[in-house]
Amino acid sequence: MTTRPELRGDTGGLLPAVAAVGLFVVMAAVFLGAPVGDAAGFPQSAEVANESLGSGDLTANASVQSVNGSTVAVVEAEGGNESTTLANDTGVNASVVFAGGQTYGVVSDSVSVTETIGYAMFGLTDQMPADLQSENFLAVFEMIDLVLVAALVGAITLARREEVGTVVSLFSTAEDASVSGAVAADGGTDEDDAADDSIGAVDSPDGGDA
Amino acid sequence: MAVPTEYYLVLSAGLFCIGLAGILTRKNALMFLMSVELMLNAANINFVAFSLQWGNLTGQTFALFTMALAAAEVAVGIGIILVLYRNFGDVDVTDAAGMRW
Amino acid sequence: MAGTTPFAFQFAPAIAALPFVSFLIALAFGDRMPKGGAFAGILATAGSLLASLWVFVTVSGGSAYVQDIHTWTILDAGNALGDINLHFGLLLDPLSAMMLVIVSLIALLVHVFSLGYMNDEGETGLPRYYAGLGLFTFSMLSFVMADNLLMAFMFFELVGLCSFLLIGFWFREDGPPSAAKKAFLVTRFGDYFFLIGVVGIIATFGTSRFAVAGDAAAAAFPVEAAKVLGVTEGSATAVMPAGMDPQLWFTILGLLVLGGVVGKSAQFPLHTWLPDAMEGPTPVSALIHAATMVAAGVFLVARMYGFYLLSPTALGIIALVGGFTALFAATMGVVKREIKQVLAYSTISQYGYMMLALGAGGYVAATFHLMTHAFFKALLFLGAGSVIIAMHHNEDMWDMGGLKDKMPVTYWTFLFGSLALAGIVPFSGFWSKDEVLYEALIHGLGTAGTQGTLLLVAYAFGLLAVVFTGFYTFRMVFLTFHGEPRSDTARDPHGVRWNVKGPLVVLGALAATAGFVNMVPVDKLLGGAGIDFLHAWLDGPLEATSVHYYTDGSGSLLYEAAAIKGATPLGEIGTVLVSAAVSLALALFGSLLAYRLYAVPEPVEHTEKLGAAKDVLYNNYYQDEFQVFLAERVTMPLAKAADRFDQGVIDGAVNGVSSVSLFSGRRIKRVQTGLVTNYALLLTLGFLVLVIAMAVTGGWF
Repeated sequence: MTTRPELRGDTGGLLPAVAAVGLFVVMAAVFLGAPVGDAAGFPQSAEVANESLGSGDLTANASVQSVNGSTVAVVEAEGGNESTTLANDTGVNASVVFAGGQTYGVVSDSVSVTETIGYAMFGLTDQMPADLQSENFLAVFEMIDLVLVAALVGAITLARREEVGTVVSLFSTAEDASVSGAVAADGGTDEDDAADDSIGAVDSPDGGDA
Repeated sequence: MAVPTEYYLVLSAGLFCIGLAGILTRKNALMFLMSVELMLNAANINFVAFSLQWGNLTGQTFALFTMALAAAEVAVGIGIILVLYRNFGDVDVTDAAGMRW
Repeated sequence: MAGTTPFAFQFAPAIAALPFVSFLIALAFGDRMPKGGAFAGILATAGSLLASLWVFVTVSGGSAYVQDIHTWTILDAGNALGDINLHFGLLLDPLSAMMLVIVSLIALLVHVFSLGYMNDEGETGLPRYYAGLGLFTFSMLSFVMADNLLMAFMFFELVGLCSFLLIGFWFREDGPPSAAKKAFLVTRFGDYFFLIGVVGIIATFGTSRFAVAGDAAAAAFPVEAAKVLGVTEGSATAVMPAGMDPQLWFTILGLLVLGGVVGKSAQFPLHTWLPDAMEGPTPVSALIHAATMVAAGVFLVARMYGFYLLSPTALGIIALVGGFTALFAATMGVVKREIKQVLAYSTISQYGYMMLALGAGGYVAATFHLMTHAFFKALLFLGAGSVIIAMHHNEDMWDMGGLKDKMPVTYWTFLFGSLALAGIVPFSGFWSKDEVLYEALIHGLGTAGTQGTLLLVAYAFGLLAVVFTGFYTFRMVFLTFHGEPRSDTARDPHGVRWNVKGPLVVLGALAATAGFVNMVPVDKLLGGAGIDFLHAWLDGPLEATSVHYYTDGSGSLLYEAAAIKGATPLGEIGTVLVSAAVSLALALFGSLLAYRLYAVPEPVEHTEKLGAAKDVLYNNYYQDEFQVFLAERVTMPLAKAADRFDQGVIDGAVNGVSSVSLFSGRRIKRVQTGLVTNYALLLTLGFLVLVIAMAVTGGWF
């Protein structure tokens, strides 16, 4: 019965914990003092299409309309309206912007991070938005696949019980087991524990100076 | 107002050191394995934090793969613990001290 | 030397190369050859003998040869000496030509004798034996032909090695390997000083050449040394250590080289190895330990005589050591039981005479005695070998007796050799030993001061040794060959064949007649008729090694540098006759004493009457025990201390380095506890430290 928390006394004393805490203190000190700079962040949207409507600031005369199932930018001019198709679809986010002495009709789309991650994993880098880049992870994807399969097979091989007289290998089956059902590397049954204890007493587990 | 990246780093350092403390002081092999998982995840946080820092998705993608790798590693680790149990009768890591001077 | 080189000289390297080839053949194919490699050795030494005779004849015609055969390196001395040229080369002048003939002749005769001693007795391991003989012959001939001291040192060591191999031929018994080690170690002790002397000479003069051809640019160190001391005209560069007086330094160098000479020629105190070397086969004793290898020391002094003459101190020491050794060894030979032991001590004693002659300025006398001694001592050893074969390898003279009727050829040749050894006229030993004593006497009388007294003392030793020499020689002859046989083997000795008797006959003839080449007393009696052929022969074509440069006349080095002069108080003829008469009388006295005591049917051990003195003599004045004491009490503690230093400090440093590594490894390995949570903790801590370090240095805060 304990009245207050106590440290477990059999796990190397205070030194391991102090080492871990010390490492945290050092790392925190280094990280907080490092000149990391401002985060770039992810863009909220990305340009899909960009059409020039004309030079000069025409934003007062330009508007975006949906015509025949497509989105069009219309510029009202003296001679008539000028239409420029911006996208072959409706429901897109289109606007007119003046930048750099020219007026542009811009269609922007919301950018999805997970969508881009998917493109990256399958190697579809040309479908990724222009300002949200990633590397091509196709090869890594395949390798991870292999590694997972290997880990699965390894885990099952390790888990398979060894019968006396056989060795666990990749393709050993249940028929290799002996009739007696004894296991080659078992923790031991109750009768064997007494013998094991006398052997085990010699190897002291604390590992200090013998 | 975005969270400054340093705090993510300190968080991941803290998580890493908690995992490290677990490795250094735990006797049960399964707890040992859990601590290893903690350290892996601390690294993952770091990846994601820097992905935001540079505006590049490489970090986040890589973090996904790291998680898959952690899973594979745990699978094999559990297999090893099983064999350890069979040979030493207990999942105590301090029992397996045969490769010593 | 004008004109082209005579072909004899161009062919001269073959003199040494032929025995080397026979060494290789005996090693490689000896076990497949019918006589175990003997014929290869015989053919090789016969070829060497012919080539040596050819060289001998060419040198007699007035040419000499000094030539570099192979330069192995040129060092830069970095001081006034300039380049030092280390090379192998040949020096063929009268001294070396004579020695070449002697060595190759005796080697040939010993090879033939070995057929009888080793092959016919059914010895095993003969390829090893003949290979050893071949290697020895090669080394000795190369040593004789060496034109510089370093090359001479190398072959000096090589003959020592061959002596070791051949003494220890019967290595499965206890005696021979121990004797071989003793021989090698005792001579090696002397060779250590020799090596220092060689290095000293090269460092001082920049060269170790004995002589150069007349028009050569290089210099020979005896000539350079004479110039440095001002004895001869000319300038020379020599580097003295720490500004030492040149005379003193040259004396030191001479004494250092003398260390090797004393060891190799078995002079006191490094004589202890030679009697034990008799454990080897008798032909080996004849070749190596009587005639050639022990002659190497004396030959070296004769070769370097121009250098030794510059320091009277060294000459005095040589004479004193020689004279003392002559007497010392002769007293020990009187009480020995085994025939080879008597001959071994006789060898030590006779080489003492040669050193006496060299120290007293009798260059010709020493060389003459070297030549005659080689012949009669080899003869005596081969004769002893023949007796040993007959006695089924029993060497104890007290088991012999009465062999002269059963082995006439051996007896008569042995007798000739003994007469030569004792110095009875007209055998060769008389002429040479008498000249040695004569030279010692007149130079002792004629030189002033302590030098003269030293020479006279040495002369007295040598004269006294003549008595003992005669005594032990004829004791040996009478005990072995005369009287009644004292054992069954003596009654029925094993027969010997022509391959034993042939060499004995050849050497017997030489022992009888070789003295006639230099009968100095007769020459003086005839008023300088010029029959001292050896003297004239040695006064040869090369100026730097000729007798008149060394010792003859008032302009010679002996007079100018060593201040040793001869005095003939009774006039030349009178002195020489009196000296000859005295030495002959003493020799006859010793021989007749032995005759009285031992030429009886049943001789007894008269030496027992000497009582305690006999024990001292029999135990070689306890010199062997003394040397063992030195080794155990003096050298061993030093060696142990050095070993402790090596193990503790040097090995300790190395081990310490490794133990640091081991210790730190043992502590650091405990980091690996096996607990995965601990590893994770270490990872975290390391990461923390790294991040903080990078943050602080990178200025993140």
